[in-house]
Amino acid sequence: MTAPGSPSVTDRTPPLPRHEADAVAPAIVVEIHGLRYWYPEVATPVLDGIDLTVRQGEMLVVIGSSGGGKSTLMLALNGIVPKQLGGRVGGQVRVAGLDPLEHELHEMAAKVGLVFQDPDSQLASIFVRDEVAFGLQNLLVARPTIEERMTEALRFVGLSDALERDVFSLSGGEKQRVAIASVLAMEPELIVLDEPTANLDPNGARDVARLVAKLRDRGRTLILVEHQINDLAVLADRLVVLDAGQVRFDGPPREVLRAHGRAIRDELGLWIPQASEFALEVEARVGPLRIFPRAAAELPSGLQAKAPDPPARVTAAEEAPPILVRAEHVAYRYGGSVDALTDVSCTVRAGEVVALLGQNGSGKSTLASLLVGLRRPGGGSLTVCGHDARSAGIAVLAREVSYVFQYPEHQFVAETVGADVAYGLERRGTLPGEIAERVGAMLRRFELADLRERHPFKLSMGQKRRLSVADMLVTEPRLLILDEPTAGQDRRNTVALIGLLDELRARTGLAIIVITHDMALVGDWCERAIVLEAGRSIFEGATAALFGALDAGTVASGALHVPDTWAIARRLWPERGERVPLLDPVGLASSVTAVGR
Amino acid sequence: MADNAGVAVGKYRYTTLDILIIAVVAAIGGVVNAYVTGAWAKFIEGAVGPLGAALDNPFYIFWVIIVVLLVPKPGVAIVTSLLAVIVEMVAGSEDGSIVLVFGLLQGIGLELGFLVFRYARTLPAAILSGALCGIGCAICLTFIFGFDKLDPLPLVALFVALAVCDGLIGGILGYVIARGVNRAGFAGGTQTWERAV
Amino acid sequence: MIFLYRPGSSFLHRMDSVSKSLWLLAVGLFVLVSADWRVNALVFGAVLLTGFVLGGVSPAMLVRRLLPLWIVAIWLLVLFSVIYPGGVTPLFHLGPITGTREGFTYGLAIAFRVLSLGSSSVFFAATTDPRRMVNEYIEILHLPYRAAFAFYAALRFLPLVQTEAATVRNARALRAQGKVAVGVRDRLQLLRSLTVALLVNMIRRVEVTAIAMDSRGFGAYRTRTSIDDIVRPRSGILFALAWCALVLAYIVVFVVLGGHGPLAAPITGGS
Ligand SMILES: Nc1ncnc2c1ncn2[C@@H]1O[C@H](COP(=O)(O)OP(=O)(O)OP(=O)(O)O)[C@@H](O)[C@H]1O
Ligand SMILES: Nc1ncnc2c1ncn2[C@@H]1O[C@H](COP(=O)(O)OP(=O)(O)OP(=O)(O)O)[C@@H](O)[C@H]1O
Ligand SMILES: [Mg+2]
Ligand SMILES: [Mg+2]
Repeated sequence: MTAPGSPSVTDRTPPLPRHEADAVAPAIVVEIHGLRYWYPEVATPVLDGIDLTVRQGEMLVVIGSSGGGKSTLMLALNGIVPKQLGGRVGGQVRVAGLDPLEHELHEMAAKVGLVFQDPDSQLASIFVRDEVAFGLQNLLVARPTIEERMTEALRFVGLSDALERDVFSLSGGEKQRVAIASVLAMEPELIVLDEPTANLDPNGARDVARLVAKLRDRGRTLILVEHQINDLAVLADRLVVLDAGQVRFDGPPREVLRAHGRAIRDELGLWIPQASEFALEVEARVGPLRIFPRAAAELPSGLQAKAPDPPARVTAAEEAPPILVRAEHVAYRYGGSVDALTDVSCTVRAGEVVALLGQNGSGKSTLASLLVGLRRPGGGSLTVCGHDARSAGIAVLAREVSYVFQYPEHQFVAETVGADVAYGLERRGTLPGEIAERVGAMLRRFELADLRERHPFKLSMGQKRRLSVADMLVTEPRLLILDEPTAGQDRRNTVALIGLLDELRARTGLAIIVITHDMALVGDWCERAIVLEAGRSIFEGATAALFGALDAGTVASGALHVPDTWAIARRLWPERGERVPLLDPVGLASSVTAVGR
Repeated sequence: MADNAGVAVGKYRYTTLDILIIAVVAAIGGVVNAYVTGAWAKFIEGAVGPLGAALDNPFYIFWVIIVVLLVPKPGVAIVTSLLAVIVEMVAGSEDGSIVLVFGLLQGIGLELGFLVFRYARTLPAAILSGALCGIGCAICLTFIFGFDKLDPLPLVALFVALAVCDGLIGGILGYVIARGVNRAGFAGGTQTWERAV
Repeated sequence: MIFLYRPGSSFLHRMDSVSKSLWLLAVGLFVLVSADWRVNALVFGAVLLTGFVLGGVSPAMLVRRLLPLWIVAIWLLVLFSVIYPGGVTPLFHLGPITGTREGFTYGLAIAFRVLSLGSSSVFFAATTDPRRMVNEYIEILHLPYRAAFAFYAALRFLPLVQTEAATVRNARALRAQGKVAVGVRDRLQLLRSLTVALLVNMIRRVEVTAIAMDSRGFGAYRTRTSIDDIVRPRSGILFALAWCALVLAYIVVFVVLGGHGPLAAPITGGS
């Protein structure tokens, strides 16, 4: 999706005077002073002196590292923290003039509406109408009013015709919009969205982003939580960065990014927009830019660049590495009726990183399940590491190919980290001495050695991700499939993981297939890409070529867009057309010679 | 902290999370019982006769034990047991409304077992609860399938076998699984777990 | 979905679920108090008629659904013919084993009992919309809505449970590299590990659901606004009451006064 960063929606924080004495001043919706909070039986506070004021009509984006307490802070706004989750609090919170500690949860419910990340978990009802009416029914609002507001809310989110549908038939994006409608129907003064697009595919995310923009333009007070500054976040009036339980930075996104972008990226380990990374480098090397961009579309004109350095990532292999996967016209059908794959052809060679892209339901997971032997292809020919996938089952293929699940929790089988890594080797009958040795090495490599006795579920997000990969690598597969490896991970974790995998790749020739919607990751890491569309492979080739084709419209997949880095390159070397090199922000910036007036 | 009628984290009142946990486990249990355990049970009982119930019943009921160990509050056993059989029935179990009677009597048995131990999350509580559940099951079998007409000896055997199997297999299975869930970080309820088994 | 309910407009579909539950209970009570095969056979016939004619359920579906139950019924029949203590009149011989007439009729009574219970609830499940059932229990029986919600939530989360279960199972298959569990110990281990993983993953999800519900005031008051009209056709109520009256009459006339019933001999001596 392209960043909707038109000037009309930028930086419009109204500099209202503070009403210190008057606590119910209409302009202030949220007022937090020195908020501290400890979860039960946890010694260190998650929130350690938060100060924050939000005024009516503002849109605030809160970012922070994963596990940094963003969600916790949001739950403190309506009293779920601490009333439901226990623990101790200190400091003051006032929302819409009410103290969540003194008022009942249902009183706060009418003031603060919360929308959460996972569309499948947060809906309580089976039918859309029940979901949208849910809060109003609880608050004993009269039935005619409920029906009125229900219609209005669904109209606002663009789902008027979904009233009688059941939630199982909705897509992720639609579920998320129903969740927003359900909150809107209660007419709260403040709407909090906690990573509302994190679990959605690009199409769903774009619909939700449009809806958020619409809410903002209607003057709703919004708090948006994100773990990176993405396209949604750039819509905000204010960017609030949490660190160590405190507000570290607070201001208009442009200014915060310009002044503290490096700190946010390097010290806090968070993603910032690639366009901003680029701008920071350019400003450091060449001089200040007229407008500090938050997305490629906002780059000021007049940038001059010399010819790019030759790409650093040239694979100068004399002889092509061996082919691990060769798929020709592969087809697969579920239960005799659903054609998940109709015609997929591709190859994967040892040592390369290939992106597997496509919309929800295009067949990515199905293809992966054929590669690991969970299912057998129904047509065409598929050779995996020398085995014919039509005859070799899971017992053969799973030794060669490993699959890392999107949610690490799904694949943990043991009660300690050590035992979990050892599991795969034990099942295949490796000798105990060797198991101990390989597990030890793996844990050290993934920096999990100190956590050996910890329960896998009690690890942090980043540690869980590392463990899930270590689990799969310990059996030394030749091909590793990663399903959405960056979802919910902050920059620090992702960079560390990629570093580990690259090292392994260089050493052992491990090939990696990445299933993802994260185009920045594709641009940064993947050499080649395969695009599926409705069960067919519509593109296979170099990543830069894919971006060129996307830009030219020769590959049309609604789920894909070019990353900032490529868009910037396009701006720097317009004469090259679609054949621009793929460089990282630093590489791009080092070519810039002048920034214009 | 303000009192809150709706959501107090009390010793007796069920929180929303309690209700959802009951619902989810009952849903899993109900469907598994209707389609998996039910089929196995017919097979076993077909091969061994009514005494075979002792071999399959633990797998019907350990779900309820898990829930009580996760949400140790009065009434949870009966509610979960009934809910599971209602789901089982709605899902189309051919045992039909028979299972409602089983659900009720077994639920009462399970509830009594935990009541005796005052809802402590201990293995003995789980075992006793399973055993009493087995008795409840035996009573149902006796009256629904008309075993009361049989000689007392096989009937006593049925009661003993069910109590022993439900207690030992069902109780231990439920306890071990609940313990595993607990180790993974779900605290649940208001009471602490006894030290490791 | 996994449920039996199919929308329709038959008499049973239109009937409110409280009355239908009453009917279900009446049928159950009827066959439980009666140990007379003729009575139970009559009840079974009446239930079948109700389901096929008033509920529009296809006989083929019922036969398929009840397949395991037919087997149990036959089993009971054979079992009681052979081991019924009060049996004196030989009916058939299977090698050294003798089946008695008394045992056979008793087995027949039990078989019809089991079949009546099974088929009546299949008809109930096939014609009752779970959502409507929840609403009617709340509105008509004044069941507390939080309790009724447990049932609704169970249905809400079932599809999710199904996908989670499949994922967790696949993950285990992959991690075990296709090595299947063999032997009782291995299988129990697997059962435990699968169940724990499924439960933990589901609990993680419902923790979010609980917060999302509480944030919207779930449980704020004793009642909540209903957004559905309750439709209770009088014919449905009368139908259920008629069944109840029949059962009560049977109990009074034949069980209390007449000496039938579960604790009495199935067919009295010489009659
Ligand atoms: N119920 C709980 N009990 C104890 N600790 C908890 C609980 N919920 C969260 N935590 C811990 O509190 C910290 C903050 O969690 P929180 O979910 O608020 O972070 P977050 O910033 O929203 O992270 P993410 O980006 O992953 O969503 C984490 O370390 C987490 O492990
Ligand atoms: N178990 C299944 N039974 C029947 N149909 C299925 C099953 N799994 C997937 N499908 C269908 O197969 C098609 C491809 O699904 P698949 O999960 O492979 O897509 P995907 O590209 O991985 O999507 P996502 O981005 O949502 O993960 C879809 O139409 C889906 O509905
Ligand atoms: Mg969060
Ligand atoms: Mg997928």
